[in-house]
Amino acid sequence: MGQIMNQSENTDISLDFLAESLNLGLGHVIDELSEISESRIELHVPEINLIPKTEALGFTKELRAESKAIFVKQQFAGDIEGEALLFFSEDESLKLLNGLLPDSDATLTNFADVEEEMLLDITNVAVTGVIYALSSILELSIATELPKCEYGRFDEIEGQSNLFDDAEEMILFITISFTLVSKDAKAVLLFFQHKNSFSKLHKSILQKLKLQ
Amino acid sequence: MKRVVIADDSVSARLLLKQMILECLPDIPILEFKSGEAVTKNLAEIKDCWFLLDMNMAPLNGLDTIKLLLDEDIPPHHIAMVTANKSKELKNKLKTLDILCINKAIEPHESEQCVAKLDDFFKLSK
Repeated sequence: MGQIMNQSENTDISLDFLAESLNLGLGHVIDELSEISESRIELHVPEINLIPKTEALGFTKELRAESKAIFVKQQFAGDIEGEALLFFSEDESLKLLNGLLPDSDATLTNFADVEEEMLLDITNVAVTGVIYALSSILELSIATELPKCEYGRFDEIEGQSNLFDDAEEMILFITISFTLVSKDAKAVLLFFQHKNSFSKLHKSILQKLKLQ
Repeated sequence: MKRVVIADDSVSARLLLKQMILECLPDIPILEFKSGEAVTKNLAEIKDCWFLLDMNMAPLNGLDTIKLLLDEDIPPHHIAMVTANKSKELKNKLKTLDILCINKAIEPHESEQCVAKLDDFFKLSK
């Protein structure tokens, strides 16, 4: 049943497989978020690339212009390892959080402990959903750690984080976005994975697809 | 000989679905399309096929493609949606149209359920 494909085609099909797995995982997550928010949620097709870390961080330019940013980080480890980030400006996060609250609840105007807890929950649900799908489909053992939230000026967060270490390294960069239709709020979830860990993942995917 | 049309924008999803179809019907010819629009553009040549359509694809998602197929008098029991979307909203819409919904598999036991559902679909719609 094996098919002969070149390296580039194999990489493309691995990235396509990842996008499909993430869709499956987030299908479950979005159901949960739909119920909480009482809002229809649209999932946008994930964007997946193998690019230098510096390029992946290009998205931060917009956040630098913002006064404050919220940054939730969650690591995963096991047969594959990497880190996931939920990243938004203060305005966008408040819009999302207001969108996730039932209509009867008071509108949020400030980022506080309760909102931080909610963002941690959102990240945990989303990352766990994605990791569950990947580990189940590929029969890999992957565990997620608890997410951590940081809030402040973007430059301060950047200075404290090891996210920006080894900036020239090639990474697997995944962007997933979903929209709460009636609340007009959008969240973006980013996955970073080191290239050597991607090699293991790539091998598992080709075996699953019977291409190796 | 009857053929199966599969439409999904993901090449790996099509590969996995083909593997499952061939478990049910080892010799069946399978035609692959990347979008609903590609299916409808080729409809004249594939009207007598079974149709297995994903929901999230563009241009023309699975649900809109199904409506066009029904308008062209394709019997509903020759069409199924194979999707990751488990929302009640979509399930209700498909039920109204009398279209079978098969959920894409995550767990290994779900793959077996998926193959069993496909097998029933092919047997019942012969």
